[in-house]
Amino acid sequence: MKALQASWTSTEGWRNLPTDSTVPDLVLVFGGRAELERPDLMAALGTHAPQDRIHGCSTGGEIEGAHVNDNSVVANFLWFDGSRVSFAFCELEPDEALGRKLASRLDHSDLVHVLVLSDGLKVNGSALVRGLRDGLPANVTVSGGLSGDGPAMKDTIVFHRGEVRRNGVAVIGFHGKLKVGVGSVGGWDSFGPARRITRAEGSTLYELDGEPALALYKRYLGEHAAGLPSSALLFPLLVTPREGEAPVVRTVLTVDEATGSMTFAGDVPAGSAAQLMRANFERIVEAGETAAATARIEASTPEFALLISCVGRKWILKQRVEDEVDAVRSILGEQAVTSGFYSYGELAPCVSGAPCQLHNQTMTVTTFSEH
Amino acid sequence: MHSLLERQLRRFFRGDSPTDPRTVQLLAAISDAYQAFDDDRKLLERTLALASQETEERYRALQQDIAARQRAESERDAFFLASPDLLAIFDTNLRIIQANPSWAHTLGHEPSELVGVAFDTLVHPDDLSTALAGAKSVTETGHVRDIELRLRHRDGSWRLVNTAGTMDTKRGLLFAIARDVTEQRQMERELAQAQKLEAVGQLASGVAHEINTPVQYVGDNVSFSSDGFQTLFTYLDKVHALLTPEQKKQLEDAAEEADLDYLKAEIPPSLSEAKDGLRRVAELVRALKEFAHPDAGEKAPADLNRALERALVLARGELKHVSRIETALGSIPLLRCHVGGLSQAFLNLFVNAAHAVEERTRVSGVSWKEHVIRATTRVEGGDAVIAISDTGCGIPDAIRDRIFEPFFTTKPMGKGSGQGLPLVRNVVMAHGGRIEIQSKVGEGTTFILRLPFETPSGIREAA
Repeated sequence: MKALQASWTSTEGWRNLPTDSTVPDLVLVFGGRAELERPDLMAALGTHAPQDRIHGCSTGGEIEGAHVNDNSVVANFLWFDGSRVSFAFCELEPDEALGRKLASRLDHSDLVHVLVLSDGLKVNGSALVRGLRDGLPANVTVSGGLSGDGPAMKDTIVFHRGEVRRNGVAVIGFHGKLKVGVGSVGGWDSFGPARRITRAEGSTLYELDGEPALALYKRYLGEHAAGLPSSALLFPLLVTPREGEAPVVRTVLTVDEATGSMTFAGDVPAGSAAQLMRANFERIVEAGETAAATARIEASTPEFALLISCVGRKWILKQRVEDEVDAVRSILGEQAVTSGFYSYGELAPCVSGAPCQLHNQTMTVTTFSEH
Repeated sequence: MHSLLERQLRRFFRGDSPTDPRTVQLLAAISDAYQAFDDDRKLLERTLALASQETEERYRALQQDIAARQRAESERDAFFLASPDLLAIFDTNLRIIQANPSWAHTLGHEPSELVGVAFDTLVHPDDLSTALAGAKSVTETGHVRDIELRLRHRDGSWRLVNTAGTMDTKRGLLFAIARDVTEQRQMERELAQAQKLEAVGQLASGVAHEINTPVQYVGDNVSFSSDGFQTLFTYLDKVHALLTPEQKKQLEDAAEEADLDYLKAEIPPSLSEAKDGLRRVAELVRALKEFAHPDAGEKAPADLNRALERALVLARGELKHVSRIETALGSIPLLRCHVGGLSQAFLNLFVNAAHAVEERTRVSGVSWKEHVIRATTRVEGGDAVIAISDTGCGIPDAIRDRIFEPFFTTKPMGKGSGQGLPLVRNVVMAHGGRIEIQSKVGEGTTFILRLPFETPSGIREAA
């Protein structure tokens, strides 16, 4: 397996495009939404790879090696030694049917891993992963992320077979002897009183302990309330649907002033226990190390690693955002080409071997190796 | 630019701001970092303040909640402590975890002594299967009610209780409540018995009335026959005197053939015996009518000696060939009373006396002619005193205190229900009286009933 990383910025244009004429098996492209929609930039890529092998999504920030950029494009050219990839795309559906349909459209022979790149604002991520789990063989691992739109949170796109697609989910199946490892860790601390979700429908939260959820968030955000919905990422919600179940972290995608409700990236079932979370800089950075270490269990010296981190972490870490990328790279080693994006949600198992779930506020590392 | 960075630049560059573009960019980044740290700190401080405030509010709410719970608990405790019903919490093995003070009042067991006690050790052996069925039912359905059991009093007596229970399967606890219904059930039985007696009384009264008329005309006819026979015999003697010797001879032969002398000798005494029998039938009928006369709601003046005599008449069947009967009835004024109830009490005492004498005869072989059942009446210190004594087997000391307990009996099945003496006690108590017992095993027993003449007017009426 060989990985080569090219990038485009407004100041420097395209850099490091491949000189090798060998056709890559897969090109993973991540970029600002506006940049990905520029025909001239994509046309440049098309000269180095067939359109139908170019896949990716818009982001809340691009990870290029050790750097984190905004309004740039990073393109990862991947050549496999015998492994192969397959692709599928579906328009959004509100329930598990979407994931099952995607799974059925993928070739299942030799399938080892499925990478999901989804719409970031309208998808029900929880239902999506449930459908995928239903439709895929049990030994196939799943990871991925919800595409981003910088701090705007208005419009996200998915890049499928070189085309810009909206309101849909693209999946890439990896087949053959490829080893794929996944690790996903948050590193946020829960704080304040334990609460109960007293009114919710699907992924829309109306009340916590009988109080409108939006009012509670505004109180905590103070002056940052003006930055809703994105500023709500400062306070993710730790949701435990049933006692004894593993809690999941949920972040806000949209707010509705009229109803005082907030829509999260995944289900927030009524009756669940809930607690606000806040950032702990050191632990957020350490989470990157832990996620990388977990991903290395399956692929110990990866040639390529995909880092999908929550945009909320980027807004918290600000100038220190690259600390978490460094943390991941320090574990994976120099040989690994690292790339990825800041997302509106991550898909990964909670722990190695567990079924895939929708997460928020995590650093999710997927490692690829053909050794 | 962040104010702190501005001060630092003034101090270290003495007013000469750096102009090199890279240095300016670096300073801008440092300023942003300063600002970010400030913002983060402010957010953190705000978060901590709000969280602390919320925690404090919740703590206060929790305190209030705890206080309310404590209040509710203390109210429940008061309920638990004050309830006249037996309340208890059992574990799944039906061992008592907690019992309320009513257990001490009702059954003589201190609640602290009952902790860990298995319920079945308190239940009457004959009621164990009922208790076990109740336990099974409450385990299966979560609820049970109206299970009636006898529970052992500390003094060895039994109290009848009506129980109900609820199972908390999650905590493995059975909450049970029991009400002492001993007296209530006794009263219900007595009422039923009284209603039965009243019906029997009405029937007896009707039968007595019906018998009375034929007894009267049979008596009249027997008297008429007796007189008629006497007249006929006199007439025959006169006819005999007028006859010729030959005719006399013929008539005497006919008289001999008809055994006329025997008839003359036997008809008068046999008719006299028939009259005597009829008199006794009439007496029994009268006694039945008086005994069966229902008590009205109010007490009425009555002759206790007469009531005692009537009871003796009715008990004759039980007393005959058991013992000699003696009565020594003093002069006592009329007593305002429920004479029907007292008559029943006297009858019960006579029947008990007969049974006691029979038992002694059975055990020691003493002839019935040597036994005596004696009834005496007198006035003593403002009380009418009725004493009924026997020469029966006597009452052992061990059971002396229990003979008035409902359903307590030493008699064989079918002979005693254990309701006779409780009725005597209830009737006497209803008249404000009291009962004394003198008894010696192997010698006999005397029941002395003392019934006060309630009011001066009662005594005047009697006079």
